Amino acid sequence: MLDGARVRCDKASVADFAGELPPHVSEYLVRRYADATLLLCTGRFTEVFVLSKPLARVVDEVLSRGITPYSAGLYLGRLRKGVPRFIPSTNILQEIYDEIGRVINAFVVADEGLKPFLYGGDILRKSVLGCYQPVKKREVVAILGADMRVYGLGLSKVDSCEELSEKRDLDEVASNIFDVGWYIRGEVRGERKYKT
Amino acid sequence: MSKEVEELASRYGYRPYMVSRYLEILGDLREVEELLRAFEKKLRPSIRCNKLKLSDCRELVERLRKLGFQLESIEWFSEAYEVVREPEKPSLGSTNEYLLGFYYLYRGKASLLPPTILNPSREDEVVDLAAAPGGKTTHMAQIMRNEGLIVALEPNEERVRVLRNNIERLGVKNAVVLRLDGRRVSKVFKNFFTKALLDAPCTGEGIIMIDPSRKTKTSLEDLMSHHVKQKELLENALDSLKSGGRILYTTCSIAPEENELVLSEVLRRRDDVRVLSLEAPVRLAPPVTNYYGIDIDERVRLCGRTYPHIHGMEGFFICLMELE
Repeated sequence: MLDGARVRCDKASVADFAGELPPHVSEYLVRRYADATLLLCTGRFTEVFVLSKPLARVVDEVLSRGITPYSAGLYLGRLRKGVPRFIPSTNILQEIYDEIGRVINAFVVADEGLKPFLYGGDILRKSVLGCYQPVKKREVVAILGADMRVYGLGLSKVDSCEELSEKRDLDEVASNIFDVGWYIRGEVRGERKYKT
Repeated sequence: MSKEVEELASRYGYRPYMVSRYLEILGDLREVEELLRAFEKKLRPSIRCNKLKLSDCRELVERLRKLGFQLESIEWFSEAYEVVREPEKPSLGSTNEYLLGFYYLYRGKASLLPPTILNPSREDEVVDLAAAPGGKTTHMAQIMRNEGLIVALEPNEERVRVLRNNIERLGVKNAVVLRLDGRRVSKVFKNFFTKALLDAPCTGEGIIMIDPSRKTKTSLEDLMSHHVKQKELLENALDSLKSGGRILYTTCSIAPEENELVLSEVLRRRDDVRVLSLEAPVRLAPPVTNYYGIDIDERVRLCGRTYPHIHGMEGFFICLMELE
């Protein structure tokens, strides 16, 4: 969350920043939002937003008056110093999948695995119905339900879909980074958004 | 205060001054009792299908039907439904469809009216002055098809977090959220916006069926402190508009002190505002124009109200104005 005076915001062009992102996110961003402006706000961590022209104009205005936006435009995700370097938002991933008409970098999870995941749980091998490359150990993997909707993000514990297929039923194959259940839990319990 | 008023107040558990005012508003003791009786009835929750995330609302209806929910279309709003039956589990606020942002959940359907009446376009630059928890901001984003601009203001730290979460959950891309008191908006944005929505913080005297504690918790002092704040908000909202810009003022209160009297005082101080006729999807009740002999500005006659005993929804006040 952005946090008032302790947060500093800077703007960047999509072209300048795209190299910082995973290939499927940066390619989509360059294609779909080439004219947009990115807003990078850094407090305890860096959050990245995509701004249309009218939004960029307002953000300029408020920044010039020393006001920090709490959020703005499309939330692209969070930039980190360590690995994974970037945690995309579930909204941008869903948008990418809808736009390109296929899923990449994801596990599709059965309902019995989705339920505990939406309470903050991790993903076990037995609940994974499908795996979409590229998947890399210690990197973000999207978690989809059987309805092919993005329900959250995990940190992969396998290096490929082949490795996943070699795992045993009860092996943990992704730890929970973020799930949409947080929209309730975060409000009620004040739980932090990303578990990494 | 008459004995009948005191007796009604005692029977329904209200502060007597409130019931006395309802008699002044409605002019008929029998209708006052109808109002009090309507406040005792539970409202059906409503949901708005979020077209920013779903292209076809039938998918939402079908998914919720499979979970055991029974929905009924709201006749004046094609993308919203009243929930007429709910399963024991899950609750409406915890389904996967809710978490995915397929719908926004309302405690009653009156909240659908203000954005519908203001009807911002894709070219508009809109300010929502008291935006949390985000029902009206996300509704306007839906009407604007995620284009144009909405500046959503909320001063409270916890509430601004809820606002951001709802904006994110529902996939809104055209909003800038600022932690800012609406009473400061014109200092930052002078003559800037083409539309403004002011759902002014109020006593909630129109949502007693949702929060019965409001029967007794508002003192006359509290009421007047809301009145002062509402005037400041409205003045600021007007100053943040461009010439020709429109503002919709609304509250979830039936108290004239928070509605007609606020508008009347602000309109009298300015010669650059005109009140517009409302094109509402439901037939609104007329505003209060006679109230304890107070001289209410003529222009307020064009505003409208909803009442629980007439409209089967929360008690709202709605007024549309244009800056000349």
